[in-house]
Amino acid sequence: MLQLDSISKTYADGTQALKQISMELGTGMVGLLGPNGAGKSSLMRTIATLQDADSGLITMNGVCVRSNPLFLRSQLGYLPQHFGVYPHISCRALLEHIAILKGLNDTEQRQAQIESLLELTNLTKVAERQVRHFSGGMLQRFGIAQALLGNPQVLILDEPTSGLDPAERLRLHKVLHEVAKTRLLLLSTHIVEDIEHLCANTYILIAGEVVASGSTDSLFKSLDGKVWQGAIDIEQLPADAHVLTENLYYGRQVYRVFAESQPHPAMTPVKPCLQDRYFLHLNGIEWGEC
Amino acid sequence: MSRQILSSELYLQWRQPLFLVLLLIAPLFGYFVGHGISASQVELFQRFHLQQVTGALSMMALPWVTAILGVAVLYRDQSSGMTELTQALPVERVKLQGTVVVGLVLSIYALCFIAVCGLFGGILMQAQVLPSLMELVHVFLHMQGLLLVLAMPALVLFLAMYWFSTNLAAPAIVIYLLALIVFVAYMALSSASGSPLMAGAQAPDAIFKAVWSYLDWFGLTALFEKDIDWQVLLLNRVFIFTLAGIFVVLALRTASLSPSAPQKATARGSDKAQLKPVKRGSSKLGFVATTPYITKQFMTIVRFNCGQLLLHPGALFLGLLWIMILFAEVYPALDFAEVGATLHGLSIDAINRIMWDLVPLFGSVVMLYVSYTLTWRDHQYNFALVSEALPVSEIVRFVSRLVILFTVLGYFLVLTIAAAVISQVMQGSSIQWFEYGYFIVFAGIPLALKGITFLAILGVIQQRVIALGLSLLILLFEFTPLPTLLGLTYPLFGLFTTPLSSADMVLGYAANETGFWAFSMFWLLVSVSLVALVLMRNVPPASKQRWVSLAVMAMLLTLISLKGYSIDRELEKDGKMLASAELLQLLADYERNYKSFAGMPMPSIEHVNTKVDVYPQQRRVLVSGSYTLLNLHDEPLDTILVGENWRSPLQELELLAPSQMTYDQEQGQYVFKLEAALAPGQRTTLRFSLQLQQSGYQALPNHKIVTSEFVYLRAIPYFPEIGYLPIREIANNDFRRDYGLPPHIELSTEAKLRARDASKDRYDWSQLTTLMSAPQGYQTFSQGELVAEWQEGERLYRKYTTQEPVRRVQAFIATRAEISKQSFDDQILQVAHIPQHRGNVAMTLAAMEHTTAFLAKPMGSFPGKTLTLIETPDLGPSGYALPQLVLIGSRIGFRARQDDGQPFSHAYRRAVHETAHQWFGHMLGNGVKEDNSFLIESMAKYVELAMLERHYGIDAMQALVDYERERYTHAENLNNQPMVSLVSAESPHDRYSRATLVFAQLRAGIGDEPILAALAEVVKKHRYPQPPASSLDFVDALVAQAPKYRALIERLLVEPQPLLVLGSKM
Repeated sequence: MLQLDSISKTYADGTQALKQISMELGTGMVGLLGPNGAGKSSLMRTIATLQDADSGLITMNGVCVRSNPLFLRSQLGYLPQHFGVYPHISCRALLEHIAILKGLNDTEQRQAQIESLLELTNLTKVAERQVRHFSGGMLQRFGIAQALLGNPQVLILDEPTSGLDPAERLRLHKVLHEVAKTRLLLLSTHIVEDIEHLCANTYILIAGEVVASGSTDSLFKSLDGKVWQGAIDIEQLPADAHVLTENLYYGRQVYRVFAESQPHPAMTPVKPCLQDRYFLHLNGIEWGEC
Repeated sequence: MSRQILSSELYLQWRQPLFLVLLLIAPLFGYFVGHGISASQVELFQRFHLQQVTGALSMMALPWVTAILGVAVLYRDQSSGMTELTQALPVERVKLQGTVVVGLVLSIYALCFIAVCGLFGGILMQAQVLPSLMELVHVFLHMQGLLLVLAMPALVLFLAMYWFSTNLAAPAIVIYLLALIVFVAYMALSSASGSPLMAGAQAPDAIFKAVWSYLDWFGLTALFEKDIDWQVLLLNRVFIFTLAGIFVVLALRTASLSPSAPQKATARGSDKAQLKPVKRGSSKLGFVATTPYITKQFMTIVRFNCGQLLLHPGALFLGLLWIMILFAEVYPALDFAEVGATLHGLSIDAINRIMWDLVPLFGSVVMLYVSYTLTWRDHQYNFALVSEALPVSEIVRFVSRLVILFTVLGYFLVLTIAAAVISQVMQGSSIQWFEYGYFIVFAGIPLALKGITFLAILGVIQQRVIALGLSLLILLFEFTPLPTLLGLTYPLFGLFTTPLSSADMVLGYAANETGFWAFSMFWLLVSVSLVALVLMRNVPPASKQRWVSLAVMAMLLTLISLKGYSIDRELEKDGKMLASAELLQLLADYERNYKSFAGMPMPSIEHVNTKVDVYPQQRRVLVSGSYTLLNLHDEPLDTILVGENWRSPLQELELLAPSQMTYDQEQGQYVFKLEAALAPGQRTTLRFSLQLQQSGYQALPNHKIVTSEFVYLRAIPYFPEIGYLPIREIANNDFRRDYGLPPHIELSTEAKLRARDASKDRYDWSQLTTLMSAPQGYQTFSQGELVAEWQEGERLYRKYTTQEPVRRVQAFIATRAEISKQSFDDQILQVAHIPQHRGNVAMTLAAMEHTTAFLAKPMGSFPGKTLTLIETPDLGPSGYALPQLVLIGSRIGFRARQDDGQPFSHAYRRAVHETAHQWFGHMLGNGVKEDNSFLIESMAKYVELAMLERHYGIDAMQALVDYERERYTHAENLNNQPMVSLVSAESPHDRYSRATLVFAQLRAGIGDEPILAALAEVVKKHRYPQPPASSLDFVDALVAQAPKYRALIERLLVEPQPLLVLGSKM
């Protein structure tokens, strides 16, 4: 559906945000994982045609998006990480405005979809309130509603669950899962679990480069038998063992460690997860598969 | 702690790029003001001038600098999302805000300090000789002291107002509007109070001025008094500080109200919405196919934004405020003509009150604000990432912004018209709706073009500050003297302005309408080019569209060049344009190269035969003529110097006597070396022709109005001049030094008259024969009597001949007037006026007759048989007299009516004055080049007094004296020149107002009889062709008639003494 070929972007201050990024994106949910400043938002803005790349090619169904941005925008639902709203306008009126701009011309259909989205995002009761007065979570839900307006074939959601309470987050997961069955949904989040649970494919970006990509399962299943966990003295670890994360578990320091063989008798093998793979790259650990 | 917070605050403010930019601009701006407001070398370092430049700097810059920095600092938490962070700091909000404001006061004062340094530099650059170091230090400290006294209280007041406004959660635009109101109000009030800061300020109402001297936030009114009343100044400063203190208290009391305080939860609040359990299955979403239609997108953007911009409560409030401001401007002035006279105000009068300052200024600000808002609103509200991802093309976005901008402009113009119409209705004035149609076109188009340009600049330049700065520069070029200070006087440097000027009942907009359309087209092309740049921005490089765009851009640039070239060509019709420096150089070169001709005898012009064909619709006048030159000297003449106008050279010039001619094109000087010298009493002929055109692309010059509705052309300075012309010498000694010329010796008129060689006095009088032709429907006028009249084709020909020589100041007039005439003795008095303006005609004819009767007895009839008074456009002076022709402005001469209870009519008085010039100016008062204008203007004022007393009674005469006393007292208060005698006086307040007071005293002392007898004596000895009279001849004759009043006469007329009696009765 969407193809990126060697996309690069350097900002005026010299920051190289994207380095030769290539991607093949089809239907389904795709996760973008990376630390702050890795280039996720830059990549999303570039795909959404909000900024132009310095070089490379972006095509959607064979059409060059860089020279024909409206082709993509007419099929796009976009939720930026941070956004604000105009003053003196109600939630419903702003959705109505965006819907018309997106091309929902039939009044009945438009209003029906807005009602449905308001209900979906649990905003029906506050639909007539000024969006400016919304809380952070409500504003985020408004953002999701506006992104879903129309019939977007490409959904780009940057931190969609940020600010949502657990119940809303779970509800949104269900919606996204449903939506992604027939369209491309590019999801960027710091919550690795969300990607692990929702995305069939994942790209890990570090310093503007794709350092790992593939089906989400495959990314961490290749670590089977190499991730260990235990509450030990870190000084006792051998040199070829690498700490991935350290967590507190009822006040005790518990380490997850990457090692080809058991690094310490007190450590037990655990089922790897996407977070392990993410930290493997983030901590710059050399690994055979890489 | 407080000191640390303040230092930290100052550090924060001074690190802002805006402050650094202002830090650079401040001394430059100060320099331009200091250098731009010129003064003579004597006045340069004197209190009056230092107050003027420091006051001008404060008035122009302080409201804006305070507003710009105020918004940047007072709103910084909100704009950067820091409000909650700063509110959570362990410092009281009042203390925190107080520190910010104190920091602002210090920062802005520092900028002012630096600006005054620039100001000082500007003044130094004007000085040809620098004073001693100690004096310089004194001047610098004086200026900084003035700044402290003038600017500091106002600065604190402005900031306190802005602070209070911020705490009331007003948007930033309110601060800019406050600044605008403060700026405009100060100019208006200063003008009304007769401040020397405002050119053309009138004598104010005494009570108003007294009140304003206490309220003036810069304290300048009290400072500009000749004798400063320190008590008033002190009270004024205390009052302004107190007012500032009130605002500070109000601001402190509202400091706890945060502009972005968290919203209280309401019944409809978020908690309920969030906590409500969600039914299973309610999240079913049906996607809807989308088809973006451009028209729908366009309509929804326009509707949405218009609603946001216009239906906003703040916008509605501002709309109401705008109507009130305009109403306050139009309503009280709609029927005002001048003191003691009113007129029936029409729509054109209402429009003229607002169309040339308020509407362009506020309209431009609205256009910039709306353009900025439309372009950057999404970013301002952090909604840009959402809105830009929508499938809306750049063209739809831009065009919809344009339509919104035009909608706002329409709204603005409709509100403006509403205010003017309400004022008219409440005044009971009749409304001419077509005038409002013109208003929409002539005021709306420049605003629309500026709006398009702002939108394009803000769209094409991604750096917001640079784009906004460029847009502001356009406004600075239009509304400040910046272009003049930079020496950019070419009309196209007035960015997005047109030459259109105020309409009157004679010309309408005819004077500059063609220029308006040409300039509008030029600026339209410029703005369209900028729009093209915006639309090209997203065109992919090396694509076919890019090439098309480049071709369109090239075409637009070509059209701009062609239009610019065409405008330049049209401007040439008005004559060669000379910058002031070029003109001074030309004058200096003229004096250097041709001064040798000054003492050389030249022939006199005995007879002028002229044919003048007027083509009003084509705005062209064709002139061909001949001078009969006569040698009146006792010696033969072998050289004749003939000069032409620099701006409008002659087409042909031919001397019939065989000669060798050399032509200096730069100076427009022809030197004829005669093969056979012109013997005494011998004649020859000089033939010439010229074509005069008027483009309508710039302001009309004096003595050349060539329009479809009215044509007036004075022969001087367009006809050839014989001999060296001292009038072309640079008069100002400062400039003379600059251009390497020896300074003129400054003598009083009395001294110059006594030192002159009286044998060189000579009347420039000639016999005149003129054949004028104009299209049918026009009345033509020139000097002389109408001796023949015929029609050829569509043109009317009239021949005028003077029966005897008259002063050679020829003029040619064509107008669509009707003529009312009456005979007096064997002379014809007539008034040419617009058919609808008959109201004052009878009184005007009476004034002409009264004056003629009064002066004919002692002085004889005026030269000529016909005197015509013509209603003219409201350009230039209110009245102007030529031999046999008098021009009086339509508004005050023909439309104004004397107020009930006003003892005399200004229309009558003015007609008397201008009629009197047939004797004082065109019979006497010419021919002695060393003389001043006492015999012209001051004597005409005497006739006013006599006529009012004779025909309206002593109270009317006394009312005129009171009126002139008020004007004189006001002007004299601002006058810092040394006192001179009335005979030597050059300033208008002396020539007119003081002359009235002097002659009132003289009449009270000696009566009219000796004065009239003295005049009769002077005429007897000096009437043409006898030697011309000087002012002193009249003084001597008066003393001879009333020898026991010699002391009084000399004190009043020839001694540089102030008037002793300024009481209400004389």
